[in-house]
Amino acid sequence: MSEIFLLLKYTIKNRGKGGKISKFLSPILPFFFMLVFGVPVGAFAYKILPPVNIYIPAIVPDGYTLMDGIVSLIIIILSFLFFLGYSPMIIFTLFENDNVPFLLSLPVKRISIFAVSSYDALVTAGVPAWYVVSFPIIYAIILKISPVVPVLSFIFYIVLLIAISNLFAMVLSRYVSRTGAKRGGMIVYFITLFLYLIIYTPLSSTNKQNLVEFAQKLKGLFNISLSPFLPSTWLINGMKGNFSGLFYLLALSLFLYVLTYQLSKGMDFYVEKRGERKKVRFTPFSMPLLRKDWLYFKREPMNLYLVGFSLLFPLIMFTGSRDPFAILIMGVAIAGMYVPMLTAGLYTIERKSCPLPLTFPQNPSGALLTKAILPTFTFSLIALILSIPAVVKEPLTIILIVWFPLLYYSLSLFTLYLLLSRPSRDLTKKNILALWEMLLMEFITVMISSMIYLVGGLYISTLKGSEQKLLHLMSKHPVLFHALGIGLPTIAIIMLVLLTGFFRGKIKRMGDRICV
Amino acid sequence: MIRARNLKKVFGSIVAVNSINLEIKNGEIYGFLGPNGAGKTTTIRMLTGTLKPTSGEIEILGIPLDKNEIEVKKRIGVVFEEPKLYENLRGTEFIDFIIAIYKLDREKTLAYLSELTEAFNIDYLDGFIGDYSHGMKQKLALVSVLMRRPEVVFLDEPTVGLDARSAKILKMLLEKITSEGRTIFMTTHILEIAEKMCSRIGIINRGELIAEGTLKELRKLSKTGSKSLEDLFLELTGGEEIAEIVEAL
Repeated sequence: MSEIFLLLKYTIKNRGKGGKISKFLSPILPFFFMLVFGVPVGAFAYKILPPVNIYIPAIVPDGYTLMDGIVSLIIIILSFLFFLGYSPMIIFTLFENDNVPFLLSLPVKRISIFAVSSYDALVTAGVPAWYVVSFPIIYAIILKISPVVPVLSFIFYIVLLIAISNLFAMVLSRYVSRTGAKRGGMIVYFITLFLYLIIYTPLSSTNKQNLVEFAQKLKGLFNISLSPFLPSTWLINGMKGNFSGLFYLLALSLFLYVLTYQLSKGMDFYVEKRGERKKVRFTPFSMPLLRKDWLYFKREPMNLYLVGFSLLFPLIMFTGSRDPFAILIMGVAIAGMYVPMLTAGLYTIERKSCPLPLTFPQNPSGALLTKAILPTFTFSLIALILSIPAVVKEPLTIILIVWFPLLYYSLSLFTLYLLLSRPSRDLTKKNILALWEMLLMEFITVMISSMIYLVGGLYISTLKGSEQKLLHLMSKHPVLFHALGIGLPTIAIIMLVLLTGFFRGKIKRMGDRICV
Repeated sequence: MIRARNLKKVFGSIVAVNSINLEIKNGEIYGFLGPNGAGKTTTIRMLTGTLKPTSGEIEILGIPLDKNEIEVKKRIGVVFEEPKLYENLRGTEFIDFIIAIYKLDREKTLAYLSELTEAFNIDYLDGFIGDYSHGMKQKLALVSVLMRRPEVVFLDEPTVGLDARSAKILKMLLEKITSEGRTIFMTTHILEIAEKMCSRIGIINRGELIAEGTLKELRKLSKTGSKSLEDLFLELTGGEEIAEIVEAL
């Protein structure tokens, strides 16, 4: 055990130049995720599950309540996501970890290397399991039983999932590449986050009646999800205090773990390279710098998340909202974080390839300025989609919408300027920007966008006769009303133009610092 | 040709390269040797325009580097010891990118690339660079430079990571390149390579060029009558006490 702790300690130390706080937090990250994801879902489950702890033989199989049926479905879906995300992540962190050859040369057991890497992968890919971490306790409270058997059942269920994922990873490692495994794992991870958002947000207002109606539609599914042969059903039985459920989980997880242990002894910890090669095809690159960025953009799973979240979150949060500007401001607030992150991601690929970018026959600042194009275009497109309700409601709003590209371009340039101002950064991090830099950019974005979109939007609405509380009061003072309504957005736009020019000039002069 | 005058690079309080003068003619293979941290890579980076010198002048192919860096970069090629490439791209996409950024003749370049990939046993261009081993990346970096037929080639430890077959092909190819009147500037720790291939050798130690010339000229500098380049190198860079150190271990 001390061997595992020692390896874990140096794995964390090796993770980069993070500060004392991040190094302290690393080992307890899974528990932090448990709190972040588990507590809200637990509170939500505690609210909606007790009323459905009822027997409805017409919908749910004998011996199970509607609550069991719903929970079994949730557990199966999340187990599936856990399994899909965790297996590729194990391949990435264990089979193709650059440190593994060195670790294998040390006098440590292979199972210790395996355990540390599995734990490392679990930090990222274990999120689906944290959603339901509170369920055994909630079951114990609702059914008024001791939490010991439910909690043990849950622990062994997770052990079982880990064992299955490890076994699957061993098989999968023969067919996927390191890049494929990383991408696969990250895509499932982000799908899981989406699922959390999509399920949690609208369902938080669900009541018992809705849930019963919803369950009736899933009638046939409960017969499958509560099949006595499924480990998820054993978990449900265990959470209900049934020892047989606990016993089956214990037996199977122990068996699979012994199997995994035995197999790990003979593993070579390397991904087998695919034997069959595709036909080599060359495609002409027009605008090579932009095309290279685009290929990174579409291949990095985090970008899929940044774009998807920026589009879906405002729409979900404001479903049915009567204020289209609220959607727009929410979109801008998110872009205030994600435009810098995407820009930083594009910058990082150049930094990681240094000094290669400096060998090309072009000015390095040109390559840097290109980094602002993709984030500007992507988030302007999202802003355009999010502004449709506002434009439909008030077509004149279009005069405000056209400034989005300038706002995001300026923000992207600001990011590049900050990155070049402090070029020595830990490039192993997903987001190389410091928290203070993110907060500064978020503050400036929200401030400028509020001057343009909030004040400008309210001004236009008030002019058109809408009841707007703030500016309507001022409409009694026409000079102040027009000065504020036109003046503030105009000042903000002038500020954006000046800032864009300032940052462009700085980046042109600082281009060489890309490979400092 | 390559010409450097009083080339100097200072990092903070450390003088990495101190007043180096170089004059390398067309068709030469110039071996640049030195112990670890002597300033070899820093010199290559300054000569290729990827690091600004603190002071001094550089001319490549008769063009002042500080005046027309882009033109110089079009006509030279550089392969660094650590092949850091764009890991998110496939090998084919990286080649396409190089063709586009250097505005090369597509047909001709791909035809020559096909010969190079066959010679170096490169059959993995469809895969992502992030999945390549060090040697695979090194070979990709090499062919992406050689396919452009640059007039001056800078190679920083070119044989590191290469298998014996590829290393042999590279050595023969370099000789062919110089026979066409093109110039090679190469650093290496493998003194046997330098001894066999280089027409002239420069030895750098602690940022200063301490010896330069043909092997014959360098031998004349020896106070102990060293015959091999290895002995000469150790004598010049302060490695004579090696036997005593090993004895003490």
